Amino acid sequence: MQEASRIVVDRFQLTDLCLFTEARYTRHPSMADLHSAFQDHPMALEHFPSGSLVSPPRFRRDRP
Amino acid sequence: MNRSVERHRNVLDFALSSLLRRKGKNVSLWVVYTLIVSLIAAIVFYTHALKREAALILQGAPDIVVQKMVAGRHDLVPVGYVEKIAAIRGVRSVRPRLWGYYYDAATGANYTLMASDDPLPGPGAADIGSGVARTLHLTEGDFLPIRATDGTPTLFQVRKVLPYASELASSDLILLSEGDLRALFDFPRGFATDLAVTVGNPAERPTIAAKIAGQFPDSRPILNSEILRTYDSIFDWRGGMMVVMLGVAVLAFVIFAWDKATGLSAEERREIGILKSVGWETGDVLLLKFWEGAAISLAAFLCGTILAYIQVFFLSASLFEPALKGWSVLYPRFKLVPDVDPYQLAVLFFLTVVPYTVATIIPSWRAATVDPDAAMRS
Repeated sequence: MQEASRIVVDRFQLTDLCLFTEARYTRHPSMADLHSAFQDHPMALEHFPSGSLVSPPRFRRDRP
Repeated sequence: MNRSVERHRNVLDFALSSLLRRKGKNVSLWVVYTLIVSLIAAIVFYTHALKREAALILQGAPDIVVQKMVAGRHDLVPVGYVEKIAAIRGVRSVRPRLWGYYYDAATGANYTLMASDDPLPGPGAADIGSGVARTLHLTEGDFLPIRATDGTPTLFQVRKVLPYASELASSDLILLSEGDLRALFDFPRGFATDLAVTVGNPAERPTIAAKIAGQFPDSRPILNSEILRTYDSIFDWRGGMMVVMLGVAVLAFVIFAWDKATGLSAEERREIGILKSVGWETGDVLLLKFWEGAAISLAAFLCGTILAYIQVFFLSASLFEPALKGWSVLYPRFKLVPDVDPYQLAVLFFLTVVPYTVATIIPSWRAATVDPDAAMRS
């Protein structure tokens, strides 16, 4: 299974695992920007259950 | 030496028969203990296996992804950046990536649409991930309806369903030709979603990323190592999922061990009093209680770990599925490659077996140090 996934990632230059498809910032956490979870307004409450499971990556917290 | 082993063997024998005398209570204790260990072990196994899987699968991800930022959000990148980035020393190639998301109102699922040139699906054709095929009940040759930006429904013939084995990377993927994707989303010519940069020497990636950021201040380069670190931090013990689930499980265990540590039943006190009155030393009573605690906790640890292993690696962590799935309609089906870290197993052992065994000794020590007559009368 790993080999097949690795081939697909390499061929289509994919960046993320397909684990949470409900929001774009949980579908591609490494590509998301810091503000995407608060897209409606600043301090907006998180809409999606997986958003509370997936914290922003550390390198995103260090720099915008 | 033999005498000491023999003593332990006799005490263990007595401990097991003593546990069997209170069968109902001890079996229920063992069941609760096993479930808690199994939950903690399943989280540890699942996150470790996913981290390992991510590290192996995403090795082939682009060396650097260059995004353009406008007011804190990504924007389309002008394809004019390609030539300038390709001219930086050390850059082997720059490939514009054209991709986006599509919400299917009929099923409520989100898909990732991507332009592919390897191999080219051709106009009007699409390659789809297994998750898309499952959600829409499509097979090769069927037609996939997608509503364009102007509202007109467009049909794409499914040329190929991507292999089930690659579901962890491609479950929600729909691959179209560049022309079709541009027409669907009305993508302006001369722009791409982001740029995938290939660098010859991996050691030069941070330097090249700094050069790109310097040359294009509105861009954000994301290194391959940062992509890999993302999954490390998501499934880190400090990540949201781990903190919530581990916190609940550990708290349950603390309440459980606390309940055990705060006191013995009257029957157990009487038993200790009788043992002392027939000549058992305090040390013998403590040894007996140690073996009782060790027998229950070791059995619970072994059974809990085996249950967690079966749940995560054979049943695809179906217990966690509702939590991970959230509101998403499309959820990938994948089997993780079994991989257990001995270090984590040792930590789990010392976090569960040792505190419980110690917790059972303390109240017994209190009971064993009082007068046997008083202990029997209490």
